[in-house]
Amino acid sequence: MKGRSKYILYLVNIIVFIFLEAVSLWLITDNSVLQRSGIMKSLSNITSAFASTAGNIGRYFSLADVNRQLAEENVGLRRENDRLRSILADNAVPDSLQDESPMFDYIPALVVSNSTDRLHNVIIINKGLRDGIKEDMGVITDRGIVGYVQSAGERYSKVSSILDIDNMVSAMLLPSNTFGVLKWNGRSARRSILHDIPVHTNFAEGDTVVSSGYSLIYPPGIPMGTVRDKTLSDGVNYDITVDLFEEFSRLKHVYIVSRRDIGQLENLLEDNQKHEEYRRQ
Amino acid sequence: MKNTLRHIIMAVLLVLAQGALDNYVNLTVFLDLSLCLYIILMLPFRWGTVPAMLTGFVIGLTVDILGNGIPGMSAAAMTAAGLCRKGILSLTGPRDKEKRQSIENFGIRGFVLYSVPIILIYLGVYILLDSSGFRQPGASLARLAISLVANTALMAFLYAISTDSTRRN
Repeated sequence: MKGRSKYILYLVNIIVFIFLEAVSLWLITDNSVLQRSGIMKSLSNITSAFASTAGNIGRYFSLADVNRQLAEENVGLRRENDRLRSILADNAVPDSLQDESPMFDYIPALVVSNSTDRLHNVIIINKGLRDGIKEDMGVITDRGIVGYVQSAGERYSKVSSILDIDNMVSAMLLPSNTFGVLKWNGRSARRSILHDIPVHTNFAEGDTVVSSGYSLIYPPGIPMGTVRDKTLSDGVNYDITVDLFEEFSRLKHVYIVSRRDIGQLENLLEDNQKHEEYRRQ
Repeated sequence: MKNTLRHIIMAVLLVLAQGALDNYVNLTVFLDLSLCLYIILMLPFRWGTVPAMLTGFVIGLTVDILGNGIPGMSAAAMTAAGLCRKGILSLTGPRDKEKRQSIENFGIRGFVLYSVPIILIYLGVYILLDSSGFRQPGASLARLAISLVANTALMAFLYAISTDSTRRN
């Protein structure tokens, strides 16, 4: 009798264990690839409230640094403004040709929480749906691409960092203008790998890597890092190690990129897809 | 009653500290610190496997949510730790009947002997799920070894300060 109850107890233990592990695995598979599920949306509000409280305390003590960073950025923007004004004055372009509105709009945001020590790193920012943030918008700084908006809550949004082994960004190697795919290898938060650069490409250590603009969500020409070294990957392409400009562990201020003509572009891509399907039939 | 309340307060503080640690302390991809595992290690001696697994699952899920991790990762690892806790306790716990009344009577050496296999199981499951076949085995083993040493030291430290304060009371 005693032996039987022991056996039942073992059985109950195993059944409960399998059930709990199955629930855990279901949660993991549901969230690790697309990470846009309804669960994440509702959970992000709880997470953000917790992160925001702790983040407010941390931010208070780093105000001096923030001010310094903003001042430096202002100086950079002022210089750029002056340079563009002088170019415009030199060219004397008629006003009628200058009214084209810029393709991208930027929404500044503060980082509430950030991780760099996981294989799937995420960032929480203090802007959400009520600020005009939508899923799949790009997130950048003046020192590189940060990631894309994975899910947007009412007041906060979750950003999938480029420091995620599943994320890829189209990038361009200067001065040769060669395109490649920038992908993190999960090792150092200061480095990423630029794949698919043909072996005949001329480049040297220290050359700059910028965003290509082939992505719908990131503007072209954002400096991302410099070439550190190269390895031959498959006999015809190099894998280039890139030293990133952005120091993700100290990330505070970011800009969310909103593309004005995204609707038109998505319609075009959708039409193209329908056309391909029609041709296949 | 007083002792139970003390354990609950400690558990809440450890979960909050783990959330803060995951959000704001970025050390290295080769180190996973788990303060919450201490709650599973210090569960009352008489607790069965099912309550230990359920506690581990709930704590793990809370930590995943607070720490912005992938929901289910810590929960799966903590559940596995909860499953093995009772067996390891009977294998590594002291033979002395008086010492077996409470984990706080184990002494630091006995506690380390009991905690190492549980930490190893927790980290094994966690790293396996986190790597998902991406990492090379060498990197995952290095991560496991570094995390095992660091977490064992951390658990021993928490045990030393918590048992010290109990004795004073």
